Amino acid sequence: MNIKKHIVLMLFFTQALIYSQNKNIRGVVKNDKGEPVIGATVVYKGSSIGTITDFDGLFELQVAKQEAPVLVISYVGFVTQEIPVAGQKKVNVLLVPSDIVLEEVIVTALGIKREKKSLTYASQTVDTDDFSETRTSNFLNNLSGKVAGVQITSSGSPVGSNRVVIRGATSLTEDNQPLYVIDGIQMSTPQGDTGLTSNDGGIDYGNPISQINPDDIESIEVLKGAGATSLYGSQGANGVILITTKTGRNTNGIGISINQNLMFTDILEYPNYQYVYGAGQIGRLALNAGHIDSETGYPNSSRWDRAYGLPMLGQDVINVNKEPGQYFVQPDNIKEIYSTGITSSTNISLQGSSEKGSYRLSYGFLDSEHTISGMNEQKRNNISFNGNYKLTNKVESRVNVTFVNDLVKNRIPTNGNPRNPASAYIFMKPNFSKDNLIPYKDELSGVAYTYEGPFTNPYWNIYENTNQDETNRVLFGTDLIYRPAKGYMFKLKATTDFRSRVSEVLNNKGATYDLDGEYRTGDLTAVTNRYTGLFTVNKRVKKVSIVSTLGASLFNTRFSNRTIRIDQLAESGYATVANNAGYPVVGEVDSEKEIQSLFASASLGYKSTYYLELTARNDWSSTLPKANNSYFYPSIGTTVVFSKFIPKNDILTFGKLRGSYGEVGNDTAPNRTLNLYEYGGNYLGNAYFQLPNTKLNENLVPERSKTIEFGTETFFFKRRIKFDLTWYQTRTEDQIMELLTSPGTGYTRQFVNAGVLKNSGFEIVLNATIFDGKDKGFHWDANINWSNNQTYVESLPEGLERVELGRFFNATVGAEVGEKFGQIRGRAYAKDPVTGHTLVSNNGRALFENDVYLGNAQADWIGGLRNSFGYKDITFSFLLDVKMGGDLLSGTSVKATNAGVYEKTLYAREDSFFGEVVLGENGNERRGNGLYGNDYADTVIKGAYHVNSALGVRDAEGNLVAERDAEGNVIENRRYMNSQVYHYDDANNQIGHVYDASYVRLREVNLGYTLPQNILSGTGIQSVKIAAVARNLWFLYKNTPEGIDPEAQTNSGNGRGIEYGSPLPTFNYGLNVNVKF
Amino acid sequence: MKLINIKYIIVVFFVTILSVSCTDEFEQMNTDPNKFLSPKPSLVFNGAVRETYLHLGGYLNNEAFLTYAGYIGQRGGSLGNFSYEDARVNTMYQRCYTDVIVTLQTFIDDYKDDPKFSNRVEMAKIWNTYIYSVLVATFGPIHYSDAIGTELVVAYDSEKEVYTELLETLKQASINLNVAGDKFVVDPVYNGNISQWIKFCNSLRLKLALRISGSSDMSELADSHLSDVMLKEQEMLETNVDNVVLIGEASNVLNWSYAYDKFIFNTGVTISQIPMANFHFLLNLRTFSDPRLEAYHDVAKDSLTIEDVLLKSGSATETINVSYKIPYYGKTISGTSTLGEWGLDSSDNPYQGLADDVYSRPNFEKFFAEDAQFDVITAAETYFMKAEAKLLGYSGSESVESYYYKGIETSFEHYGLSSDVAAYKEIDGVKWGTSNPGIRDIFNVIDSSISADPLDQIVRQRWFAMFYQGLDGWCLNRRTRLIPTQPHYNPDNTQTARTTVYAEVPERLVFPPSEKGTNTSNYEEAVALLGGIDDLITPLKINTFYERIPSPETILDAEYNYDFASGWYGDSEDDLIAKGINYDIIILE
Repeated sequence: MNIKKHIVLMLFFTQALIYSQNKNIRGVVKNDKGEPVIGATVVYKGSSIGTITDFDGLFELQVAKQEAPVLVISYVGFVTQEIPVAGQKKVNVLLVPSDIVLEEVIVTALGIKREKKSLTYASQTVDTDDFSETRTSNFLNNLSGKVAGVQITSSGSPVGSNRVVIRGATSLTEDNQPLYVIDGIQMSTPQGDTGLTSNDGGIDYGNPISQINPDDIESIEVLKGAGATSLYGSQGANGVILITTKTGRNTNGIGISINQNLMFTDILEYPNYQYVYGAGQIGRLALNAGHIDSETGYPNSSRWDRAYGLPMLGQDVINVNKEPGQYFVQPDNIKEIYSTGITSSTNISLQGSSEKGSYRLSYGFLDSEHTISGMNEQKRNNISFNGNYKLTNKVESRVNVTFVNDLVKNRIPTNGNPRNPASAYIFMKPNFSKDNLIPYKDELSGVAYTYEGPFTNPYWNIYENTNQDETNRVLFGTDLIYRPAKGYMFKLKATTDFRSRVSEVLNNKGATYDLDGEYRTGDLTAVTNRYTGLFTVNKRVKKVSIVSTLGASLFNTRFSNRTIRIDQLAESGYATVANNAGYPVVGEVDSEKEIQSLFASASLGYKSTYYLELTARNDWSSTLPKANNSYFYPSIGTTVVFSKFIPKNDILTFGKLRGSYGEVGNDTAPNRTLNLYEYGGNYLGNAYFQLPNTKLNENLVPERSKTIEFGTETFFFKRRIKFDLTWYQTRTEDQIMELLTSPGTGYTRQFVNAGVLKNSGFEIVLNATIFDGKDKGFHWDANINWSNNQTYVESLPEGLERVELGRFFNATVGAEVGEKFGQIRGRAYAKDPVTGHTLVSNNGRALFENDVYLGNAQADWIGGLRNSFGYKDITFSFLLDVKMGGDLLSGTSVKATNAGVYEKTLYAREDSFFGEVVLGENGNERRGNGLYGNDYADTVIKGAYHVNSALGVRDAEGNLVAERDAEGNVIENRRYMNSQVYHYDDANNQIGHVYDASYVRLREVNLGYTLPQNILSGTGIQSVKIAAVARNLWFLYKNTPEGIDPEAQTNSGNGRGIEYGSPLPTFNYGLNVNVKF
Repeated sequence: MKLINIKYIIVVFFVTILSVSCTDEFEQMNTDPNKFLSPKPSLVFNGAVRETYLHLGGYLNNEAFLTYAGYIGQRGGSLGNFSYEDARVNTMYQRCYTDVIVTLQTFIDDYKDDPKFSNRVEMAKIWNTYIYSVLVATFGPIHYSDAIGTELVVAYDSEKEVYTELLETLKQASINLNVAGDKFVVDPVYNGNISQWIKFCNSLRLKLALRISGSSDMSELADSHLSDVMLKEQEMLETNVDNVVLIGEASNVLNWSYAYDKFIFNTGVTISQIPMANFHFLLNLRTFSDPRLEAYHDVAKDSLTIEDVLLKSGSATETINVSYKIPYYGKTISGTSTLGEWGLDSSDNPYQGLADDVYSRPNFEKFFAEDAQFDVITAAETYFMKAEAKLLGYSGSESVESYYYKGIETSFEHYGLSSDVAAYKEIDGVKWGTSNPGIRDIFNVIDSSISADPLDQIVRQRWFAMFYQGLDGWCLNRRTRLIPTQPHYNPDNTQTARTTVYAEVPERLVFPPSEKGTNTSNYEEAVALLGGIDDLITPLKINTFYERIPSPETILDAEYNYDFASGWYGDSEDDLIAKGINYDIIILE
């Protein structure tokens, strides 16, 4: 501990040395609007003595010893100025904007602005210009395809949880989501779909980050490596997404901006269905008397959970709605569930500034309706205020407040949940439709009309299962900044993220799958506070520049959730705890976590060419056992601007090489160390207690991830082309994970420290200005980003070779030692090991092998290509988003095959129907065997058989092999079976439902028109921009079946590679109008 | 406020934050406030018994064992079709450990050296032994000696190792239990009666010793325990009061029996999935005019009408054709299915087109009510075990025949049928030393005949007496192969390595598939201990090798028939009249 503290203090000490230097010449740098320019570089020409301007645009330098000293003042986006300063003590500099981006200054950890060229790690700024135009209700969708190394997986639902992973998963079992920091306020952003399994699904409450209003976002910076994130500590271990909101700076008078956006959503693809055979079984509508309606004598078409019935010719049947009707094709039965979804977003902002400070006030309102009318209805109000005020020349205060009210009605239950109306398409029989599914219940009893199997009436689900949740959220941050002298700053920052969510779910009584209904309510509160004190030094002395920070922080987060659940409703339709016919079950969850931290960093530059950066941090976390709760982690990095060594040329404008090594320590979630008993309930009049199924661990130690990273940053042709290349490798060790363990341990899960995940990959960012569009001529920019992160499982806890991360029935996705993260395993036809024949038993049905490798969910590479064009007042851009590689097991495809609704299940049906139903042949006859071993005369094919198959027998060692003749040749099999049975086999052969989930997707299209200034003159309107936008218009490339989005996943967790009952892919289109006054 | 003060405050606050490092409250902060450190041991025991009722008596029994024991008919689903689903098998295995064994073992570890708890520690051990006995008889090798340890992976023990330890534990427990000693304040098993705990302990030991007695691997072990435990035959379950019967609770939805919750309350289950009477079990009860048939089963809702040929009223030679309803009807294990090789025409199948309500179901009050009973072990069963032990030559104060009859009497008493027992004991095949030609089954493939062989009689009567003790029935059959149940003619072959189109009752359940991932190398060793592939078709060491001869596929004299039902009320029209049965006379043209 002492040594660590010393290191922290030593880094701090380096600042003190510089603090005692002399200073003689002062100045202020302002832009053309009179605003101070912060971070402008000021150097003497021909030397590397210089500094950068502070938050007020001020700088100080020693008087140069040169004869005629000339100061060179430069800043990104402005024309570099040269000012002779011989004999002067005070200089005022006015910078005028330039068209060519020169030096980039970016916001880094803890809000510290740095010259980009000094950075020793990868950081990428996201172009947020069109976030408010090409809008989605979760702005994270807009990041897709725009940042190298960042993979966004949309949940497919506008109110669901997206998955954002930077440089791959570093943790086997935690959610791997980055830290979101908005204006320095650390947000608590737990995923809203934790624990939702593929089979059961449930309600996805979305990620709280989606509540940020895209209209408020000024810029987004993605910090990727450990070097970038070590100053955020443990919580930044998965990378950090820094969001800076718009401020009122640089506003003349009062600036008013109004933005109205209207987006429409429609289904992009429907599945390929067969509309020949209706509900039924083995080519029949009724198998026994129980299937016949006693009054009318008609078969009940609702009896069947599969569509292997008769050809639909208008036979009389009793429909699901208990009314007599005809057995007819209903080709629109899926389309009619959907309508056009509409999302309207309105935003008004007010801003202003003066010499003392500035403010911005913004209000946004979003009103959204889903493609299934009545579902996923969202109303969101955002109010945000952003202000800063200078108390004196040396003391400044800032305040950010965001208030969000988010009301969502009828979130769609996910995956295989029987309440999921969006998955009805898997089981929808071709003779079912809105007409015969409604009414879906007996009006008197309220009980849903019953039918067998997994098909639940989508209309019951839409109208009788309701839910609602309302989140109120306040993000508050305040800074108090004191600058005792030029280049020195004390900063105190206090931030709060308060979030409360009240939710209720009513599953009305009467459903087939839950006759007595269910009601539950939840009251959740999460408060996250952080207090930070920072002392920074930002100096340049002679050839040495330094940016150094010493800080401490206290982080505290508390969570509580109160739930009440009623498993039996007394009356139909009342959403209240009072509507109770049974026992209410009460749940209480409470947790608290605190982290205290001490940290320091120093970035030393020499001649603006060589940079060295060091950081150190020590955390004390309440979540770890007392003996292990303190952990220290450092980073070191270096940058060399190599273009300084080569003569100025027209090709290479700028080039740097960088390398860094960083560690991040990590704690865990609260309440994971002490094993305690749970109250179970009462049995026969006495209470009982049990041990939970998860074993906690009193000996946890902090996890560590170690990243080594090299990269270049280069500009060519006068900065018209930018090319960045990064290679990194991250090893995460001593992972704290909740492992599935053998029940023989007494627990199904245990917390352990073990396992190593290795991530490595290249990232490429290429930006090119193909036509520069001078004087409003044609301009064309192209941006490419590409990354190929690969995550490997280097080791797992002793004795374990696999960790299961997700499951669809008996198929699993997991981590296996020595393999790529995300191995998918499951069931496949048993094959002869030599010839590959499919092995069957003597009724023709396939034999199976379990636990067979089916694929891997990890993508080979991801990338994005964005082209933007402009001509005069018209802009046009489009973004292609690409993912190559990675497999997806489609549970939807398995179940739809089993249910006989996919078009491909028509195979051999007619033959089966003719042989079995029309001719009445039995299994042997269809195979050509008559009674008592005689041949059956009819040799016409009567059904399906497995091609290239052979009878499975056991060899001497007990292995399944193909039957062979005396010469050892495989005896080919041709055993016909009923086509339905064949398709069952097909459904069971999970490997046949694994698809390459690659895609090339036209992600965004934006056509904008800015009204010419001359039209607006005199109206008081500064600008009007109209944009026609669209998202997800087209798959240029995809391999999954129609109706299955290759991005679909069962949840946002690590168990990638499984989809079941995912929503049909949608596309959005609409208009955006922005008016500025 | 003066500026100087603000600056001062900033700097002081900054220094304060830097120097704050109070981590003393961390431990309390990181302790879940909604959980308990050390609840009363009896309340932990209470939970273990509840879970045993719901899981072993509920889930395992209803989803697998009852089908395998031949106590219920076709169930459908993967387990019912002699296959399995990973998730179900995982749950079956897992909950035994995570919801029962671990709590009791933790209690044992915490209190084993405290003399004030010596009886309670033994009772916890006996209960765990019972749970382990179910596991080992279901899966074969299981986690035992290394279970509930500190390692993440756990080795398996062979069947022999497990039985050795289980029997030894029971032996020690019966010695260590002290009638005057401590007891659980809350004891849902025997309400604190230690002498009954001793009886349970000895009877269970006898049961396990007999279970392994046919195994060449474990016959010595069986022999040593059988000879020892039969010396304690006075301290075994004697009357039905001693039975270990677990119950649910009608007033608490969370303690409803599995069967009520799953099959009665939950309407998502279709009528065809609610357990129905097993045809072959009914056939056997009917063969011996067993009054327990009616005690065990409810009359079918919409009973089956059959056509029959009876003696005309008042005549001893003239026959008439009549139709009437029979109150009980069962499904075979595979429902209507037959094998294609038999050449039976499916349109003649008497099962064809029958609605689900023609089948009877097990007695609602006893087996489907909210508080339905689950018999862990009974006195009747104990007498049949004693009979078998005596038959094998072990000591015993009474004769084999006497134990046999006591078993029947105690079983009849258990179901309130004592007044019928005298007549029953005179029936051919029931009466000691007699045989019965039986009745052929609906396909003429199996029949209910019984030989005069003593073991045949003991086993058949034990099967009758142990109704709804699914595991015990399944074990008895796998050991003796004397119970006349049919194979599954239409099994689900998607999961198993079976290559035949029919399936005998599973020899075991597969190891929990999750073990392949969470416990890989031990899993592989477990497969080695098993001595065959990890499949339903691999016999356990307690199982007797079995090959049905002739193979069902080669049976050529299969024939649909109504023998089971015909003459249900007697051979004559007079019987129908005497019993007040409605019937129609069919005039043949």
